[in-house]
Amino acid sequence: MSAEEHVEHEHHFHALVGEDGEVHCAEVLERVNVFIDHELADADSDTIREHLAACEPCLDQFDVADAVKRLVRRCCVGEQAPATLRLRVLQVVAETGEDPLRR
Amino acid sequence: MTLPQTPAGTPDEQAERAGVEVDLATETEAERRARFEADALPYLDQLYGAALRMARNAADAEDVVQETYAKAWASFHQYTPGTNLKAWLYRILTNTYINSYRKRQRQPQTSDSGEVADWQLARAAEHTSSGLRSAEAEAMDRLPDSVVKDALQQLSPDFRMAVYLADVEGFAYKEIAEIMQTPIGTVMSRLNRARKQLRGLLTEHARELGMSATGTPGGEHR
Repeated sequence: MSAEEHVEHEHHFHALVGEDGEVHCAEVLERVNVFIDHELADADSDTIREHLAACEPCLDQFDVADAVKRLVRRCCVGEQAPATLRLRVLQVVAETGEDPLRR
Repeated sequence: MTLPQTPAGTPDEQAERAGVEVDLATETEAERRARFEADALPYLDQLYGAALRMARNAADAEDVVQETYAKAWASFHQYTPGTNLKAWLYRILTNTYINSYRKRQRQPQTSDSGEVADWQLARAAEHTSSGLRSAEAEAMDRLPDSVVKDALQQLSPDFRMAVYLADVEGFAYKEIAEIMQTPIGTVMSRLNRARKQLRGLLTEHARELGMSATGTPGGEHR
């Protein structure tokens, strides 16, 4: 079931503004992830925000994607390591010298 | 929609003390050990949180983290002070997990649950009707943490890791690529697929719990 079984290809986005000078939903939607992850250039982000302001179906998609992202963060953030683990780690560090090959 | 939030990195800024000069040539082992404890230990909770999502149970997670710190300490002299210590530690954690624990985890338990049926993906990709704007997002906000953790657990390890690093730790794609030792394009592929699966699973849960006001498909797209 590993990811390697999937075809992992490089990402090539189509131009955000089409040859007809219009911004189409397909090109906006393929950028959902890079948008919510702040990986998009400012100009492209602005173009997308403009589109979302006028296109409710696309806005819905971005909304849900962002909700999922926030949900993952909410459920995973703030875990605390047990005190015993901290002690184990400190003990390992205290008892072990650094890589002896180094000397 | 809510604007994406800036990833919080509060403990990180405290941990990375910019501008501290370290003379690696003259530093004694005791000094280096103190520096390791001061700089690397603050990430213990975060690394443990990540290990919890990767490992099968808390005991395994603790082992992964302990081994990570042991390895990190053993090669701490190779770490360049002032560079991204957090990413460096995560990379060791990831390697540790992959090398020592993933094989053990490859048990029947996950063999086909990691794949999500096409119809689920298709459904997740549907546009909800404009009359129900944000209904799906609102339903998801009300899902309990346990459901989200279960859904994450159903993703393949690589997918889960990519999502975790991006969403929980707020790493940039470039950093995730370094940590997972893959090209950025692969990071993007993993995130795309992982999030589609996640959304499909969560939507299902929301529906089962009667939270989701799903219905008519398809708003119009230009």
